[in-house]
Amino acid sequence: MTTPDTVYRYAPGVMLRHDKLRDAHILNAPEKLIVLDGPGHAIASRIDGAQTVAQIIVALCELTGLPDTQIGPDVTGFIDDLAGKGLIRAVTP
Amino acid sequence: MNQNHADPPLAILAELTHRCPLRCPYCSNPTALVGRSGELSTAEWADVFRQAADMGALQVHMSGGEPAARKDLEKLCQAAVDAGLYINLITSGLMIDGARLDRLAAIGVPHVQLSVQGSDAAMCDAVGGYDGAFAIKQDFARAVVARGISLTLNAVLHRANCHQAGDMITMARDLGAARIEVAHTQYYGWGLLNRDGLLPSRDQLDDVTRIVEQARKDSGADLQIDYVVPDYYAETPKACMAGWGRRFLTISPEGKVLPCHAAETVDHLTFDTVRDKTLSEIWYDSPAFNTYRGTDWMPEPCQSCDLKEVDWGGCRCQALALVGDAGATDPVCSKSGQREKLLDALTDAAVSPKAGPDIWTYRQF
Repeated sequence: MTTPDTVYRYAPGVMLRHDKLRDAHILNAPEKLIVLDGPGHAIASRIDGAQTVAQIIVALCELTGLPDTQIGPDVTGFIDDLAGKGLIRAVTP
Repeated sequence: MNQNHADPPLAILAELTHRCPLRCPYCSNPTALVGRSGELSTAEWADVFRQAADMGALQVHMSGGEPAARKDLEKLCQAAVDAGLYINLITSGLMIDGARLDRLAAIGVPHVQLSVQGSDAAMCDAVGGYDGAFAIKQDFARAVVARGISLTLNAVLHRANCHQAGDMITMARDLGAARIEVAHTQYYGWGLLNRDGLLPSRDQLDDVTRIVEQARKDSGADLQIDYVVPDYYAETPKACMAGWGRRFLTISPEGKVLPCHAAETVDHLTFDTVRDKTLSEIWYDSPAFNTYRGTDWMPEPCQSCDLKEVDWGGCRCQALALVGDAGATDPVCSKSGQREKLLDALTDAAVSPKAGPDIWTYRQF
């Protein structure tokens, strides 16, 4: 369950890379490829085993100039989706 | 269709060799296997990986046969990593000891997919035709996880072992796998040859589906469960390879470039090899890739079907194998008018539910 204090890291075998040919950020994972859009990459690049979900939301608010009432649910939804697919795992405190 | 309609491939399946210590009777390799002397060299494979990455491929599935039957597997993985490709290593686990696994981990192999033939030694060893395989596979799985490499188990189901589906999922969890593919046998190559001794009954299939659905609820995100049903029981065809020549290509041990690993059965097509042409020329310009690419080739009822860009007409190899025409609608489709070709097989599965080593033709050269 994702809370504001949850810290995620990538599961083994999941890697973020930039694809020059398509000019897109990609999440490479076992038998899976996810092409990230701009906001997706802004979130995905901050999943680093150190930043909390709350910190990522603050960073996205600063980046977009939008309020956290608007950004918060989007970030949490995106992170929950990655977690549900087993691509990220909560770091045990 | 012409090349303007083709996007770059996303991933390639590199069938490094047909050699394998296992002899599974549903092997997806062609029934005419390529021997060692016909295989591409280390340098040829390295060049293929560079070409694929330059075209836009992002992942390589290192497969076979058993890819580790090649003594140069480490060099090939290094070449793929150097080209920028993400590696899925698809293996029986029988030819990679701890030292070799250390080298593969150091090279940066991020993911290993390990085949499992059963949830116990008796089943696993009998299906693969290899005494002691089960124990080696268990040790290998633990060794993969211990090195921080993501592990997928690929549990291939059929009439003889599908009652073990739940136990295989439990095994995946216990071994620390991140994923399990619970995949019913697909009926190509050796699988088609042995179909009447492999195809599960409707009741067996429904039991497995129930088990998988319950296991998904129990596992949550910790174990991802992919489920592949035998399409003989489906009403709409699978989007085979996400469409012919749309996303994926396969390279056979001798360098033939194929739209899928079974495509050589479509024998009216000529498949070029990487020894004769570049990968890009073959992908964009060869008749073999363009014949069934897109939707222009489709007959009715596909041509006027709303799903034509969903299932892409299903599987060309299956249409050929069951209807005798690779350009026909996949007979799985309820609109094909040819479903009786499948129903015959399903009837046989229901009335003669025999299975096992006595009636299977094991894979052999």
